[in-house]
Amino acid sequence: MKKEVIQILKRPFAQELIKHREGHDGKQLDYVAVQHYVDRLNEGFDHDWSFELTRREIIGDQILVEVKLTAAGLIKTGLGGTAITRGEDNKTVLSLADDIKMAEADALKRACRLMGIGGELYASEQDDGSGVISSPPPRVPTQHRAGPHSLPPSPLPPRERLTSAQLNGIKDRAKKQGLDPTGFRKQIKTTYGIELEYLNKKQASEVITGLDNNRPSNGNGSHHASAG
Amino acid sequence: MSSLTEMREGLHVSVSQIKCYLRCPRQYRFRYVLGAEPEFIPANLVLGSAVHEGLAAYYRSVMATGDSPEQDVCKAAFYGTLVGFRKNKLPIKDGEGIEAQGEALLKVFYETVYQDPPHVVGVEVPFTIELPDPTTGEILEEALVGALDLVVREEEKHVVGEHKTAAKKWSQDQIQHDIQLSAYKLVARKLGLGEVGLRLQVLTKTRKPKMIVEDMDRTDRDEREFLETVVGVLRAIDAQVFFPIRNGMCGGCSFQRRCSST
Repeated sequence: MKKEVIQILKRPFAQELIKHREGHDGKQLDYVAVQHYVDRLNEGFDHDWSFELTRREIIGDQILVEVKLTAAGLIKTGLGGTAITRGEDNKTVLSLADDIKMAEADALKRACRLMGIGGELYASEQDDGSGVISSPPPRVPTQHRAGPHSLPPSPLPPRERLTSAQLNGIKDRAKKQGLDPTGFRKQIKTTYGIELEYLNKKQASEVITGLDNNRPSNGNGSHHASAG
Repeated sequence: MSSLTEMREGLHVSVSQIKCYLRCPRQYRFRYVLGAEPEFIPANLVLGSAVHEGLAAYYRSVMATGDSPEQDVCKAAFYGTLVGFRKNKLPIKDGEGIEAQGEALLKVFYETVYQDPPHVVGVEVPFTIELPDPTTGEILEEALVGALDLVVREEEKHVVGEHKTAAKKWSQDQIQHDIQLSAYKLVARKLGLGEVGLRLQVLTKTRKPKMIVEDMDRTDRDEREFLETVVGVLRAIDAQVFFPIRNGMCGGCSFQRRCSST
């Protein structure tokens, strides 16, 4: 694999893309939406990669999925899973399709990890696979093959709205620079035509950069933040 | 504990916001996304808010003393809120008679509750909780922020109360599907109140006002549907889906001129 491709794949995900959820044991797990892994594969391999679902089955209350990721002559296998979500009666399956999507996304991410993507998210994971299904796959798997570039079914696009961290970052910077909160909000509205809380991620990054560039370094800096 | 104002400083969503979007996505855009100035304050909003404050004052007093205060406590809070609205530069639309209507509602409320005050443990309890996407388990960027109108202790459990003023009695469908109560069930659990009961107290603005008290519950499915609704609305907002809904409520919308000229 070319050095520049490795660099692209191993580039850590931007902090704003990292989300958190509670794991089985109450520990907080970091993760990134599957679409960002797909974006990284596209970037690294110029869309020339394929993804194959090699196993999908239900064992007890768990869905187990295995995928094969092929790119640049390399094949990496990922095993993922999730528990089936049931209703309050503990019987009704709420949405098996959604559960399968989650398991497939998990498997693809794990294959991506072996390609070098998102390794930083797994750095603290134990070798026993805590946080993932540890049950071994059964001997007679149900095979299902998907075509090249087959992705986990309909992953939703990433959210557009600015993140909580971005909003806090903007407010903190504006406060530290002594900007009048009302005036600052007005300036955002004038520049973007919408309220601060409804900026998208890109716009929020622009505002943060504008505020950082405007930070007084020697006491002579302007206190008028550039919002755009 | 942080105040509601402080909680609203972070990226958040509220049940009111969700309900606003569900009523009319375009109104949501005017109010929240564009931050447009309303053309007026609807009388319903003024009456509802002022009565709400009257009830909160009653329950705060019960929480402090264990006994019902004089009815004047409710009236003072009601008029205090009303004065605040009247001082606002925006006009109150159809605001004649708010005082009389408010007093009538408070009287009905007081007569219903004063002889047997509840064991109040919280009034206007602010909350901010994380919301998971029910499909992916992913924690949303937006926290759910709001306040529980009332928390009372009854026998072995807590009951969360919600006050409403309404033109007429709520239908069973309304009661069954109101997302606010599903949200409160979720919130109460996260606040450590356990599996709470839910109580809706509706003061009807009918010729002869009534206070209707409905106890109800919500299931896991209701909570999941609430989360699905929140995620759906937030994604629709991301995608800038802001179509208008024109119906009998347009006359009370404080963005109607702007909407008509869009």
